[in-house]
Amino acid sequence: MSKKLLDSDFLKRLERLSINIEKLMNVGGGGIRKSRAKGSSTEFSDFREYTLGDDLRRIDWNAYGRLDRLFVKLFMEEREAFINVFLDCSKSMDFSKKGALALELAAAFSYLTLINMDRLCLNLMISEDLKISEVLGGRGQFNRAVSFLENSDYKGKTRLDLALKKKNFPGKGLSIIISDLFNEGNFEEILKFLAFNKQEIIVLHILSPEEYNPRLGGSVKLKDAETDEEINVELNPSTLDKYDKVLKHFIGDISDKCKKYGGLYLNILSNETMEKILFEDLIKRRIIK
Amino acid sequence: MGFNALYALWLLPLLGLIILMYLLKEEHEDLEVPSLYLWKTVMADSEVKKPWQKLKNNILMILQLLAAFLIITALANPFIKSGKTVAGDIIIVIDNSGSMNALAEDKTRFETAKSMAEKVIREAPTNSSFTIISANRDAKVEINTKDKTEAISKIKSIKPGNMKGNISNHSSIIKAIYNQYNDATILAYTDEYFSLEDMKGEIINLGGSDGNIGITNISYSEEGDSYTVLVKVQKTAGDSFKNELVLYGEDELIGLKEIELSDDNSINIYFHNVRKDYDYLKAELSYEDTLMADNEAYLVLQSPKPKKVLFISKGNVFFEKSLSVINGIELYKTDKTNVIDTSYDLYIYDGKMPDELPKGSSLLLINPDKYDGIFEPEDDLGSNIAHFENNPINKHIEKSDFFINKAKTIKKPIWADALITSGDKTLGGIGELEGRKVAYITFDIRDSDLPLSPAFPMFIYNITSYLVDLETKGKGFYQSGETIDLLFSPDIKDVQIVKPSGEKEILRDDILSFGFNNTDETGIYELNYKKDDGNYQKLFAVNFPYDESMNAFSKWSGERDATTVTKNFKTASDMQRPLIIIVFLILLGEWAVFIRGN
Repeated sequence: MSKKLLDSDFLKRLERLSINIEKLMNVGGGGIRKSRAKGSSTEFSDFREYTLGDDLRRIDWNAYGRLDRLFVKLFMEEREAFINVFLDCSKSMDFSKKGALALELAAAFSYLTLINMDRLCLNLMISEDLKISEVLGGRGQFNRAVSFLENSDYKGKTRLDLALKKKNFPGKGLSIIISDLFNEGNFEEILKFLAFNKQEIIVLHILSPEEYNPRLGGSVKLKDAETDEEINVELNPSTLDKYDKVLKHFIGDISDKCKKYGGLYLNILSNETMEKILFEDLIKRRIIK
Repeated sequence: MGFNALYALWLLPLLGLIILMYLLKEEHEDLEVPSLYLWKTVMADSEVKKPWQKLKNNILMILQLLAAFLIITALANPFIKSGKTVAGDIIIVIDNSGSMNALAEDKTRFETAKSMAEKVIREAPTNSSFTIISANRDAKVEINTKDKTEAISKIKSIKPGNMKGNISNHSSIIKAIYNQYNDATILAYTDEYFSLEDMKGEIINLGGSDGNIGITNISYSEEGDSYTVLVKVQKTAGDSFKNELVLYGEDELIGLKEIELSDDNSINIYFHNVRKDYDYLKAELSYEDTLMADNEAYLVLQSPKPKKVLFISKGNVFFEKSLSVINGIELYKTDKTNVIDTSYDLYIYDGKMPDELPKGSSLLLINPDKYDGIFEPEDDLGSNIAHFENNPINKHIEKSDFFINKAKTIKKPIWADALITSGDKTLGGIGELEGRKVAYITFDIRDSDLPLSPAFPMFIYNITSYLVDLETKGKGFYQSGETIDLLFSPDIKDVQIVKPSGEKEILRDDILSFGFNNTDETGIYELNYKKDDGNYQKLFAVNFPYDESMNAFSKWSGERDATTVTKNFKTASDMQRPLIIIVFLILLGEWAVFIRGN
């Protein structure tokens, strides 16, 4: 199934990459990410003077011989990250390859998570609910992640804020939101909620070229794919100018809010290639490294 | 503001059709979009300015409605009035004589007259009546109507003419029409003097004094084997002129001469050695001037040999007078009966017969005193009524009677047809004897009241032209409006005239005596006719009247001239053209909106 979303060549190239994450889990198992915490790994970090209660096995006896003082060796603690991918499953995502790209991105991030021994949780935002995968860890779980993603379906209208607030975060981590963000709820509430839950935030905002640059077409009756709501619009230059302004304000507003909550924002067009998004845009934005 | 073609406003309901088409067209194309999230924001913004936005959305329809409205208004031919109005019964007299063809700026006087008259009609109150008279050689009441459209259309249909004439010649008919109304107003558009006398109205003087020269005469004389042609060019207005005079023989260029008129009013130009084989000549001044019609003149070349007629009489004033007015004969008189010269085409013996009749030539024997075996005398006839017999020679005079005091009678010879009879006696006859034409009259015309009858000159003309085989050559050229005499030969029939424009006119045989007077066009007229012995053709030239050329620029004071008349009479500014320009601009705007919209 994984071949359907990402082919093996592409996955091989992904193996050299990892998600750039600062917030690691403060509880739970060890991973392969270096943490600021001192721990039990083999990698030396520092010395400090012995205090009562320290593990006697870590006393540096050579130093004692030279200096006649007791020092304890400190080692790096390597921890795992908990990465949540939130995928908008509203009908609006089913246009112009937006949905396909969203799935590929979710799969890529899943892969990056799993090969770096981080823990992954996939969350499909459907209507006002979340469909949450089990927590996955380890490369071998990638197929399950893909399978979970492939079982998703774009339909109906999604309230991202209501859906996302149903998530229980076990601790610090990284939350990746993949959506077109055509959401009637307050987007800032989502960011606030994630920040509150000590999440690093990445927002991958996918828009189709048609949404970015609607074509002129005279009098049209626009029908909302999610709600079947209709409005009559004269697609003349003046209306399109206005649309352009509204769109720019919409994107700018989301980008500003992400910045405000320490998140990273990337605007993606649905006709862009995964190659460009992953190896150029995301690396440039230091979302992956 | 008023409308000349009010009926066009009936098209206004068509505007509803445009609105209806837009209502039907309102169908929007369905387009499914991922979300209306952004579009709602866009439209919410537009909703704030809804009334204006609606207007903006329908800008094409509004422009089309406006354009259609203006087109309909333009069709109704609107005008804006200013000044005072002429009302009531309006008699419009338009001079369409030749001089009215003179140019004043870019329009001819005639065109100016028509457009001024049209304006007067347009602006007149709806209950006004219009009598439109055109005047040149003849005055013609074109129409009498209360319908402005009809009146304007009639004005438009009046054609400019080349004929001689002016309104003064027709003052009696104008006065008669004027007197039909209680309070009529005359508006006379002319370039020649006219007085309204006690009639109410105004004369609009359209005359001018711009420079003009014209050809006022063209003639020729024989010089050996060729002709010398004289063309007289006259300055009719202006100071000095240079021009170029070109002479054509039919379509062939014969000569070209530079001419200059400075102090002289006229100049005679000669062209020598003109070949005799042209049917007609045309002289033309090359450069344009105010009156173009007088810049060309035609001349038909004719046989120079007149018929020689010898009148042998002791004195007969009636006969002499009648013969002297016949064109194309050279009349000689003698009282000697025995003439040796045999070069005459016709010998007329009045009372006295010669010892021996001249050989070969035609004879007209009047009251012969000897018979010499030609005639067989009968008893004399006393007072009686005589009448003309039905004979081609008596064309147009048959049925005429006259009184004779006394007459000899001659037994009608076998070779002769009777011309004049009284009872069973033949008093005159005609026929061919020994290869020549012979006519006779058995009484002295002074013993009858025939010379007092209108039939007499026609009878003499007919009998003479038959005897000498004369066809009147007519004039070298006629002036426009002049009557061309068609009785150049008594036995012509099936006459057809081809005008210079190519238009053909067939003349009935019974009106040929009136001649042909529809000679408005200048140029060469072709006359086709039949005689007993075959088909014939003659050419006539008609030139622009010399008088018109001169009078066109003579100065006189009209009661109003064209420049001041507008101050006194209401003028209407025609709105049709500005409206059409506005429509054009609207359509351009609509096109721009349409292009931008797509």
